[in-house]
Amino acid sequence: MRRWPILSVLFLSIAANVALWLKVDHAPPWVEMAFTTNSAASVLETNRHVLSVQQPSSKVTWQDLDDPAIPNFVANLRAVKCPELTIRDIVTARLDEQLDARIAAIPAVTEFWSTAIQKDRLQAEQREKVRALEREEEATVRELFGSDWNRDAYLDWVIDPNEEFFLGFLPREKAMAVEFDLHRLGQASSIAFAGNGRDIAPRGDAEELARLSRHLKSLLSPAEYAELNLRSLVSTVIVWGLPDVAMNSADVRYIVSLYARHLDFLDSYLKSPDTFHGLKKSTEAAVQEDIRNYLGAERYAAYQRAQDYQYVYLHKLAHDAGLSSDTAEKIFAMKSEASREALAVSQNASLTADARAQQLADLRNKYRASVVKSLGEDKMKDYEAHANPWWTKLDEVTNSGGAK
Amino acid sequence: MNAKGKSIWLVLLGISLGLNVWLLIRWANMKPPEKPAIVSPNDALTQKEFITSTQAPVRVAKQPFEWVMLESTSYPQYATNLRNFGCPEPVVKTILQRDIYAYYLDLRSKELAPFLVSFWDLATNDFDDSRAIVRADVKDAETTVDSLLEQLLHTRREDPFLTRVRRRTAKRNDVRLGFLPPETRAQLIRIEKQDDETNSISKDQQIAQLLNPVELQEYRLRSSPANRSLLNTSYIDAQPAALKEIIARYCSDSPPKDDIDRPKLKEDIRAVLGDQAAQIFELSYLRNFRSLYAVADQAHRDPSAAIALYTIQQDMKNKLAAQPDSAAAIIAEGRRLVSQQVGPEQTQLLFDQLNFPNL
Repeated sequence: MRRWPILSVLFLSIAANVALWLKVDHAPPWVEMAFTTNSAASVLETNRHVLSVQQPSSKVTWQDLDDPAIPNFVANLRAVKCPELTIRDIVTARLDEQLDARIAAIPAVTEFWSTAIQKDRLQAEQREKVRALEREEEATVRELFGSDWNRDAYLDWVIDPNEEFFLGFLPREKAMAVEFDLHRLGQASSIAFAGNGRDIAPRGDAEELARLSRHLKSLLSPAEYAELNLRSLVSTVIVWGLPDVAMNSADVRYIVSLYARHLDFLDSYLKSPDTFHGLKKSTEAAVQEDIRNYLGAERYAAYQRAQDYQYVYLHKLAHDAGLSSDTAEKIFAMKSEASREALAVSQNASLTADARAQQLADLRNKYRASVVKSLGEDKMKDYEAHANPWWTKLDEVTNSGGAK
Repeated sequence: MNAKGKSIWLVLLGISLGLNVWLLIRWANMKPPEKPAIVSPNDALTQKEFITSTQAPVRVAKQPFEWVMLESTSYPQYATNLRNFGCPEPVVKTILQRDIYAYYLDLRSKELAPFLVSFWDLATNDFDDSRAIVRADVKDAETTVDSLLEQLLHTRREDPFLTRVRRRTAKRNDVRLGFLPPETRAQLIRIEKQDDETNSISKDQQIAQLLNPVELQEYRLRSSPANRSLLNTSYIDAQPAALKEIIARYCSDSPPKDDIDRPKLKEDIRAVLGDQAAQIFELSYLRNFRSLYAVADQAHRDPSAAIALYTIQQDMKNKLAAQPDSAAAIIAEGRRLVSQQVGPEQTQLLFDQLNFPNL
């Protein structure tokens, strides 16, 4: 009897067993192999249908976790210990997509032959539906994750670093929520007052504005809200900054706090732009005396000068051109001097109309030449193009207004 | 076979059998796969398919899995793992984007921190404005995040609001050309976008060749500049056919041009819809009237209430200017008249919040 074939089979059997044992005990992590076992789809015939199915795989894949039912989807992700923040990101992205699809399905204005009021009404109904769906999503997120989380608020925070500068006094998560409310208030206000096309918001829009402002206030402590009010008002009160005005941070803050006694920034959303502008003007009148008293005559004059767009533009122009720091101030002083001279010419009864016109023309040329001397011809072109040159209007001077 | 050979053979056989038995027992006693309790209708569907075909469920043992197995300290590796796991690309994007953004925000906060105290320092925030300054401060962080997004996801930072608006309105059609079949509409849009001077045939001629006579007539009516005035601005409440008739009347007498002949359009409105519609057309240009219409519309959709409110407002203004000493009585009477047109809520809104009659 030949033994070697039998012995060979036995050795092979032992070797195979050992190999199998090693494979069972030391299987490599499945992730590394995920794409080496890519099975082709097969077609499974049944008595009724031809079904396309994947070969069953021994690896967990995304398909095993994914589920059209959001609670199941969340449960699956939690079961594999997906980090909670990642779950929230994945799921809110899914919810957002679903929401957008539902909103896209809301019938839009399809009738071309409809007027502004008819479109307004239909759009108001659409907005109500959209808001209802958004509330629904918010409730779902709250239920699933136990907190208010809005993906858009996060993405908006990412896209605009200025908001972090503006809301730097708040913790990041809270600042994000506040910023998002402000953003939504801005949008809702623009729709409610049709840009600046009406003073009264339609009822649904007025309710939405009220709801958003309540929500915003609910996020903040009274002290935080007061700080937000000051920071929001600063760009309303001091539009162009305060170049060359001897005012430190505390001074600026104090001036804005004077306005804040009369003005709530939320009204810039809750009221029409025209109405808020009226409120701002009346506040301005009410606080001028206090500002003058606080700053003193000299600083008050500099403060007022800095509220003038022409001066601020001139300041930037001179700064960018590397001209001396008093260039803007000198040219601005020329403006007052020119106004006085022009007024004297205009009121000189001994002059004929032609002589008056000639003298005013001479004044225009004289002051233009002076400005050119300070700025140079190139910068002068820039100044003329952007700052509504005052020397061309010297014949319009009045006792009260000076050159426009 | 001698005794020695026999014993070797038996030993080898014994080892082999022993190993087989041991492996069989080990295999039988192996723990079931620690696949988490995943609820998936896909599972149910898959199982059903197998039952249908084989009359016996095929159970596939899933190997243990935790999300941490996908994670990596290297972004490219993490992306590869997610993709290999079968994550759809939007999910990969969501996960990585958020991770990159978190990294970016930390970086940005560090870069911005020294500047936050300068918020109230407006001498440095002059005309150049704080936005430009902030942008410069966070430039390094922005460069980092942009290059990561580009490299890993071939994408860039997006404004979420614009993205959503695009998603929500993706399926909306151009209402103006909604009466045309899609193919014709697409061709027409191409013609409209052409630069007229580069073609030997004018746009009008091309459009006339493309559309049948009925479509062409509808297209011309819808393209009339008078629509800006009648449809986009006015508060007239009328049926589509009536509005179309007004434009047809207007176009039949007026050559198409950009300037709108408002008096003529008003007369066309009067001819089709009557005096009240013509009055509303005129009043629609007034901000005051639009505001009052919004209030009246809260109570009921009757344009005559808006007209009445406007009339009361003008009347009160005149009386207040003429008899300032009788302001209280004029306002009380105005309030009574307004309350006849709208509900108590709107009356209160007008007088107590909006300073009626001087809105």
